[in-house]
Amino acid sequence: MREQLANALLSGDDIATRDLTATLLEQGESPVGILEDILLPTIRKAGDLWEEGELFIPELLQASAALKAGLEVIKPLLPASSESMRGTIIVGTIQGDIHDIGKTLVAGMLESAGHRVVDLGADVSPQSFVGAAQREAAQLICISALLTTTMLNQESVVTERNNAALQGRVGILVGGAPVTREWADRIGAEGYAPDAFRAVQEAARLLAIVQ
Amino acid sequence: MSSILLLDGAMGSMLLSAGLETGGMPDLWNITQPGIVQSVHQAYRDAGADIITTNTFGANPARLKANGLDPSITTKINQEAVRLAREAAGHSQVAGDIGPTGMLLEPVGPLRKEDALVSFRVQAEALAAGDVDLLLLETFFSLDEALLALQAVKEVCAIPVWVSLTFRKTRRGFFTIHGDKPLESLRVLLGHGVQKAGANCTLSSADMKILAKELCQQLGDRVFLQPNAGEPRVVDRTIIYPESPAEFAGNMLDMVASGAEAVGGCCGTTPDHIRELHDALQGRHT
Repeated sequence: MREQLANALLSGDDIATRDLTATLLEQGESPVGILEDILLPTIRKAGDLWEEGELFIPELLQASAALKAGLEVIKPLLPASSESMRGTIIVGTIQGDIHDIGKTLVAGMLESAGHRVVDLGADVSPQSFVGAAQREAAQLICISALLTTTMLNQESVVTERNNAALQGRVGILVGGAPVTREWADRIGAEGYAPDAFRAVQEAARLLAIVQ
Repeated sequence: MSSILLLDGAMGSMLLSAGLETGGMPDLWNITQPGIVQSVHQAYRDAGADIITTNTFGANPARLKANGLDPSITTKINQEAVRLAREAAGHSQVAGDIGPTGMLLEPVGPLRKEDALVSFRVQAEALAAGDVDLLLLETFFSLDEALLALQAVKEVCAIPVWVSLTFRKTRRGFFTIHGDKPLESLRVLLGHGVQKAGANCTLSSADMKILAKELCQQLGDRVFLQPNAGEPRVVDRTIIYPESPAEFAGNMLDMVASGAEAVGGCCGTTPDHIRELHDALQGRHT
């Protein structure tokens, strides 16, 4: 049954993922066990398979939707203690960049991991990122960029955040194809993730720092 | 023997160097900065390019709209772009450039096939109304969208069409981000009557060399290749493409040796890269 769930998730079958999650709960599996032993390792595997060239964008988006379906079943049952590790996260693609595939995947993953996610879409100005963080009392801003050229605009969000005296209270995580750890360090972003899967881990690390 | 066609190199990264703001649309410069666009075309012609590509990669209604612009300017941008390229081209040919919509098609994404078709048709009509020798459909990241663009183009004109997809290197080989395999995809495109099919962007010339071998062995002179000048890096807030003209030209020459009969550059290549390649092609039998 556990293997069936993993297969359903990996093949992007949202209905089977939802139903199998419910069945496992009925059979006495713990919600945390399902999350940590089946769902999250499987979605990480999907990320590895993307790197390998086994899975591609359509499959990743379907797997992300299936993960969401499974999590909707177990989210209400997760213990409150792990809820406190979660936060409110602003997600968007940087100004000048209309690519939103990677960003949407990140938003879905973070939501799946139990965070409250506010997805501002693509072509988001630094003012909008920081304004949304203030309005939503967010602890983290995630900024995507697909193009080397638009990546340069990520720095303006850091500047805007610092000007609003939110440094230390609102973390910034950057990602996207051309983005590197060096770039994140250079512009003063606290976090960097090379893909949507590692964005979830990195977000957890940053939330622990800013909270 | 020197029947190798030399395409030009990058436009977008050249315009960024000339002051295009980050995230700005290069296509708009056909109207707002025509002199600069034309000077880039001239530099490529002077470097020896046989084919000059119009500055219209994003000039389709779907992409203009996504960038917050009025899609009704599509025709004007494309017609101006053809005029600029043609004036600069001299005896070189002019390729009308058509890029992807930048959106995901149904059912994966929000873009309806009918809307994509209309978008490609509007741009193809505008380019075909000008004096272009071929249409270059480039940098498509899914075979499905490339085929839609091709269908739209064929509906409005009978101009020769070249199509390139952009492939990513994985541990299992080269694929588009949608999972299309290079050789199979190019075969499908050639089966649909395109004059040449190829690969561009994403890959450095060093990686493209590996892909070229596989493609040229099977498809020979039907293949064209336009890699980037390496993988971009940011150094002191400036974007650097690391492959020098000599390194780039050396790799391109290897692709010609593999059988490619049309080569050029994509992101980060400059007139210097194209000149170096031109000279290398001239010198390869001496």
